[in-house]
Amino acid sequence: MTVVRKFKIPNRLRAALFSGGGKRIDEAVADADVGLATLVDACLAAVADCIARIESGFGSQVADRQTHDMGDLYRLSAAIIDACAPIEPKALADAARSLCDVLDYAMEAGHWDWPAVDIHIDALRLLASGVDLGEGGEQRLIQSLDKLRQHREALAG
Amino acid sequence: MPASPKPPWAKVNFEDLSIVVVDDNQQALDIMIQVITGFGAKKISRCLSADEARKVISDGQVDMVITDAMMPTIDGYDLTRWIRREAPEHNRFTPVIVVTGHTPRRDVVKARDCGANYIIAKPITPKTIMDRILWVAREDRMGIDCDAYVGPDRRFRRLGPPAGMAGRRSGDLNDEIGAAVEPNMSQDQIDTVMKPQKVTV
Repeated sequence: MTVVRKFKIPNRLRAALFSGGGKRIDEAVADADVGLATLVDACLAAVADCIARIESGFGSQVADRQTHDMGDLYRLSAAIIDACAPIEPKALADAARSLCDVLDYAMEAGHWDWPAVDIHIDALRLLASGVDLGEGGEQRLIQSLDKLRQHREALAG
Repeated sequence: MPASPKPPWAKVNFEDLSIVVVDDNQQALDIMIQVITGFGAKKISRCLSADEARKVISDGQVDMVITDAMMPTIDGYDLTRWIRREAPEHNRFTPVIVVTGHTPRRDVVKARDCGANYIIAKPITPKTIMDRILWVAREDRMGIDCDAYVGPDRRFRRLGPPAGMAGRRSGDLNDEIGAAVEPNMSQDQIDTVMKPQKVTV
């Protein structure tokens, strides 16, 4: 029979955090925002590098892309989400996350949906270029990616 | 009952906290370190793999672990499981926050079931990280240790439907996890899985 032990956990984190001294919560968050802003250039470069690697390894012009490790494409998409912390537009992270969803589904179903991948790569390139998509344009783009993904998944059953 | 939320003018002291940050992506590691350094943390161990983190956790007292979910060889879920079952006794219930870019429901459930205190969706913001650290610091969840699970109590407190409601709607709290993929969960949706709280309908 399984024995379940239930007990109180000493909360060292609380004891240390509220031990007195330190910073006001709002000031600590503001200081972290300032620190994060120093990483903007590095993160923009990281996003550009990831998109370039996605295009060179998995773009529509790559003849043997189906032979490449799709896990690499997933990791590059996830790395874009990582790097989006200090940069705009946030829709870039949403597009990368949508690509992760497409790849996740493909890996589970064993069915590669290259048109959906290509459209996501185009969306990433467009968002990273900084082109003005007009009021609500980024949101509409992400909604379109969502609809596309749902439609393709429904088609694949 | 958990302690009351702290107002923004309340003070927090990160200086003496020993924090381990784990991510195989150097960029993501830099981002998280920058954020908690801004909070005032000084004792930070940066680890590019779960193996490095295990060495640090084995060697000293750690007050909080922030780990990426998706890492090669040993991922953030396995690292959390190791902490809960095999780390030195004094670190076995150290709060663990899992951070991940892609949050299908099955991964959120996986994080909860490996013994993590919380899962945070990337891209991170300082406010989200601070909020979740404060939530973890305030919570009074009991520890559970059994064959199948070691970690903070995962159960929701059943406080019944809200005032004026006869019960839940039929579609609420569907626990089915699809075989293939589910849509990515937002941070609010993650919170409903990870945080014991009153069920809202």
